[in-house]
Amino acid sequence: MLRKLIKYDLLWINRVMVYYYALTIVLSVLMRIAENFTGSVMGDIVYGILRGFVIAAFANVIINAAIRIWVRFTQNHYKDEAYLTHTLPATKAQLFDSKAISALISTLTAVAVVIVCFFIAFWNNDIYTYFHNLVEYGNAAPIIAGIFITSLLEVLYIVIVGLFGIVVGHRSNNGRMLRSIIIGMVLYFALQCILLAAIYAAGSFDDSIKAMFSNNPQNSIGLDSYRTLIIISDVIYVAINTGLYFGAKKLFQKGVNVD
Amino acid sequence: MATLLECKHLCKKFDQKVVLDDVSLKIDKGKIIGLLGKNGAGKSTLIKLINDLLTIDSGKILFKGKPIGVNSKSHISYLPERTYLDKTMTIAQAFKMFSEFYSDFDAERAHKLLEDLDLDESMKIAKMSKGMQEKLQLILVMSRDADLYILDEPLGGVDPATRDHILDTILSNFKEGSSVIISTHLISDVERILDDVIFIDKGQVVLTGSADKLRAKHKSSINDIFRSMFDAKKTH
Repeated sequence: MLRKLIKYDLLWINRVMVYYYALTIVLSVLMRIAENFTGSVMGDIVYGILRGFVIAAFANVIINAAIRIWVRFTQNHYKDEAYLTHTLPATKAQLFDSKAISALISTLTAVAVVIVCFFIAFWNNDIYTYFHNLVEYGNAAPIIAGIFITSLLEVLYIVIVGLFGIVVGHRSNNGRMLRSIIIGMVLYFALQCILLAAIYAAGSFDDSIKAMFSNNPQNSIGLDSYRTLIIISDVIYVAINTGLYFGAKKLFQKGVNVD
Repeated sequence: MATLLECKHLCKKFDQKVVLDDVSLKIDKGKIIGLLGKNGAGKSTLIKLINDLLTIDSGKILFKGKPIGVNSKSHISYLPERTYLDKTMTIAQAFKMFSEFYSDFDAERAHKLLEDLDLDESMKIAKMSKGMQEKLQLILVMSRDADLYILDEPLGGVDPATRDHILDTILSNFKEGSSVIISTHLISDVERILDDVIFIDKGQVVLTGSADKLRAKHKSSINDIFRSMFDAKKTH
């Protein structure tokens, strides 16, 4: 049952997303090609425009993936489509998990598309050297991978905090959507403060992390500190995401009141 | 007669407004039951509770003696007032989805009903009128071999000429031995097919019984009994 539910959720979310993915890939390839014609006025203008489009396309992919996940969750569980969803022979846990798993897959896909397109459009020796110098010594690859993992967890956090807001907001009988948005946003900022506080606390044990709060981090932070930062962020994101998932699922399993 | 569905002391409030107040009733196997009441009487709320679309404040709902859940949903075929299908689908895709989720979905019957109701399976739901979408939902619901069919206002958005056709579709397609609950305020249209009636008003069950016995006792139609009950209440 869960597999069937996930199939329909993924089909719905990606029905539109595939066009955004294709557009982002095409723009990235065009930008890479246009790079060969820089140096002339027209070449620089075209490259500059494409660069702007590619950056906008990256943001578009991430934002739209999150929005489609939230819209699917709301429509399927609280609006007209809920009259079918909640009468399918599936448990509330399966209904919730299908949305959570499809959200995870869709977020992974969106972030993967952005990463691939980033490499297509922007990757060159200068960027590699920048990262290399940033960490002062050693191989930059683990740090780059760490940054991408943290970015993925951050996007997942945004998606899950939104789902949590929707579940809590829709337990009320009035102003459900407004409550969902307010709860999601308040929770997002509150948990970001916890993350920031944890990094600040880590500064007590690591002077270069402490220096981030007063100096330019690029000049002071070392490889070990980067690793510490990434590990702290990832552990907290995983803990928060897991907590939000189980919290939202537990509330959802208590039942829904469809519109 | 074996009880299929039982509601025990059901209560439901929205904020401070009581919508259902201590509702208890039993639905037996093999009956067509009219859930009758004015708009806002609590019919749809009761049906939503039975279908797990609302949380119960207090009370119990038992289907074949067990609390409602996956098992009841496998055996209850529900037609809501709303159009609940994904509008981007075609009719063929909707059939496929029902076949995947409901083991009792009879695709052959669905195709026959589709022909009877003049619909084409290549049609996209988004391009169908509301009336056509309601017909499609009726086909999907009546193509299941369920133990209980719950039809919430199946005649609500249908013109008088089509109502008999819809009722005939219901009568000729539900599984033998199963029960049908028809919620409606258009009593005169459904009266001829009802075995039992449940009158609901202001969130309470005010009258239940066999349609024939009520007609004999009151020497009038169910529609007239309904009118006299609620008109009488109005005057007090």
